[in-house]
Amino acid sequence: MTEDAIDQTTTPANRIPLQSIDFNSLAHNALQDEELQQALNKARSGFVDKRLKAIGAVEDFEHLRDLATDVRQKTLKNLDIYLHYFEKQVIEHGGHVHWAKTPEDMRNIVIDICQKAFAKKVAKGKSMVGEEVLLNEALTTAGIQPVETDLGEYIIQLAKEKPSHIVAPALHKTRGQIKELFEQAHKLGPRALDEVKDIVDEARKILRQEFLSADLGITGANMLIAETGTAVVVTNEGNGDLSATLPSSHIVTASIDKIVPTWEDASAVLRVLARSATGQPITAYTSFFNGPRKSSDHDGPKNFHIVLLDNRRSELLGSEYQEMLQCIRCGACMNHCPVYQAVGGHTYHSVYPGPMGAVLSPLLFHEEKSQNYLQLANASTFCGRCEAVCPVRIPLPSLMRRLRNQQQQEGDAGKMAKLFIKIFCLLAGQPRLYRRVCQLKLRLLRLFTGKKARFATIWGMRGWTNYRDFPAPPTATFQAQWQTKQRGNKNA
Amino acid sequence: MLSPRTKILQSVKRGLGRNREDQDIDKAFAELISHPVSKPALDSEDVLKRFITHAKISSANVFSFKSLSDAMDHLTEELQSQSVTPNIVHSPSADNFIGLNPDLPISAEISSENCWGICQAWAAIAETGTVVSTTHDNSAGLLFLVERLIMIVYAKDILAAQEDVWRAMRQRFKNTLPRTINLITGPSRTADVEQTLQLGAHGPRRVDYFIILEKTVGSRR
Repeated sequence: MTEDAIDQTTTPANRIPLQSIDFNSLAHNALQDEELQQALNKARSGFVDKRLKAIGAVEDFEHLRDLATDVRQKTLKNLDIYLHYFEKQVIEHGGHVHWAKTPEDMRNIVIDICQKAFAKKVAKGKSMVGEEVLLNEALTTAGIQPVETDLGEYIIQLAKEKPSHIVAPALHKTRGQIKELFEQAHKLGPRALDEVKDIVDEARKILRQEFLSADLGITGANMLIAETGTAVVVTNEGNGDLSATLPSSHIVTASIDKIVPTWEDASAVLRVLARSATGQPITAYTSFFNGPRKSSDHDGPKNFHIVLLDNRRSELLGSEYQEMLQCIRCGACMNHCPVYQAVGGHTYHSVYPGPMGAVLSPLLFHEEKSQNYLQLANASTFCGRCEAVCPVRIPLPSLMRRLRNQQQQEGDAGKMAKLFIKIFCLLAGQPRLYRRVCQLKLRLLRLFTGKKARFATIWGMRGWTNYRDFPAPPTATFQAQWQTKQRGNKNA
Repeated sequence: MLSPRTKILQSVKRGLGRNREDQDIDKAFAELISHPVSKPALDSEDVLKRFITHAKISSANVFSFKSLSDAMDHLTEELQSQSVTPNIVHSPSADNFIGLNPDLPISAEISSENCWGICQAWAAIAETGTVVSTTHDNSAGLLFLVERLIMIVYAKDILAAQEDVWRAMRQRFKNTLPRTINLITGPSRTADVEQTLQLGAHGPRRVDYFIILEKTVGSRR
């Protein structure tokens, strides 16, 4: 996200100059970016293969998907009761619950808690909601230093960039780029940083000091358990736990749809989360934070705050987009998406990229920014892989199709696209005319192809033929070939 | 002026087509929840074997001992072979174990290098080779700050699945849960650099489970 985009969220909507987020231009740039393509190539099969192996090791992964989907759906149906009960439990156990209707509310609440705790430095575990509300920028402006401790988030913090993936934020960075960032930021003199181990060891040393000196810790939450007012944090690195344990105050930033009713429901989600995200049966650390430290605890923060963000999620309930709230942020959809794999996450220009971002971004950010987020619904071939791998069965292509309809109705679809659709509707409504036009089109195209099996270039379709050949059309339409075959069968 | 809390809850209720305010939230919640046996069917007969298999898959080192003193003999022998003596920190949960060898190089403080931490797990989960620790039993900070973590796991405390642990948790803690319940499965790791897995991110680089097979002893109460 650029500096201009950051300005858009802190300036009143009626004074924001409309920024044009052009996916096509950004995608073109991404395809030319050699280092990005190198990074994407490395990631491409890793996620897919690991997930396949993990789900192949369980007897019935589809049953696990059903259980997790059931948990998410039943929770949304009674979200008000679960939210209310969750709040009651947190308070009864000594914690605080703060409600943020808007991103600005969340920023103000977190800054207020930090200032009351006299916090100058904050250790941050990964929080997509924190990215959504631009929390780091707000903390910095308020004179509070946020230090990202998840290695991927730390890397992009050094690079002054936004995450390009919801699980692997620095997926777009090569080892060489990370080495350069560390050399510039850490100033430790000449040393070996070519191997992954060297980079990780250096990050461990540098960030250990940050954990030990932070005044306050902020983490996200993968789930919030209503039964006991518990925040569940799932990591592999251990940074979330260190951020949540060592400082004297712990803030959890989470959206209202993170609630699950009981610990058993949490287990149903955990069984599909790590398998779908990183190809593990469970991550190295799954931690349940149940409130502030009591006298019977060996350690932990004395202050525990949960900040709940709405940001239009409540308006999706009861709407045709409610299913999007089932998302558990595993990233499987983007790992399998041919569009994401080709252009990476920054092309979506949103904290939520890939197929889930193509649906969620226009829904959350539609009115405050320009209407351009609706265009993300077109960043799809509708191959259906996202829906096939979604552990909670969100019908992502259907939701994108509805958003495309909405884009049409709001008049935001391109003029050429509208014209082509009008022409198609006209033809499709008149089958005989449709068949005649298709037959004529084939005859014309055959004049150009001759005996060629494919086109290497087509005028006006360079966007396609620059990267792949276009097959030559057949000698007759399918319907004509079918009728010929039927006649042949009758005569035989 | 409505508070953000009221605005959000009203917006949620509007979306769900709900008009009434729930007067008794405890009752409303209790009516909704159940504790279905949603866990996958697991062979509960051989939880030990399953635990060991999955623990090793997660890159934990697993050692089985007939008794706690056998485990201490092993540790003592290992210490003698170290070229640099580590600092050893421990949680009170491991007092019985530590007390078996008064010559252990026990330190009061966790050092950043060459520091071993010894704790006793409250429970373990066979399904994934996971150990369970609570802040009633162990310092959560210790679990993450040491280079090498040794968890003493009694075989009797290994349960089949997470749901079994939650049942035991409710029995033990009733309405007052510890600050933190940690599920630990192997050493810390990251794949954030070119998707290449590297063990030892911010938490321990090495995790050992010392399984004590003695059947009459366990930690869960």
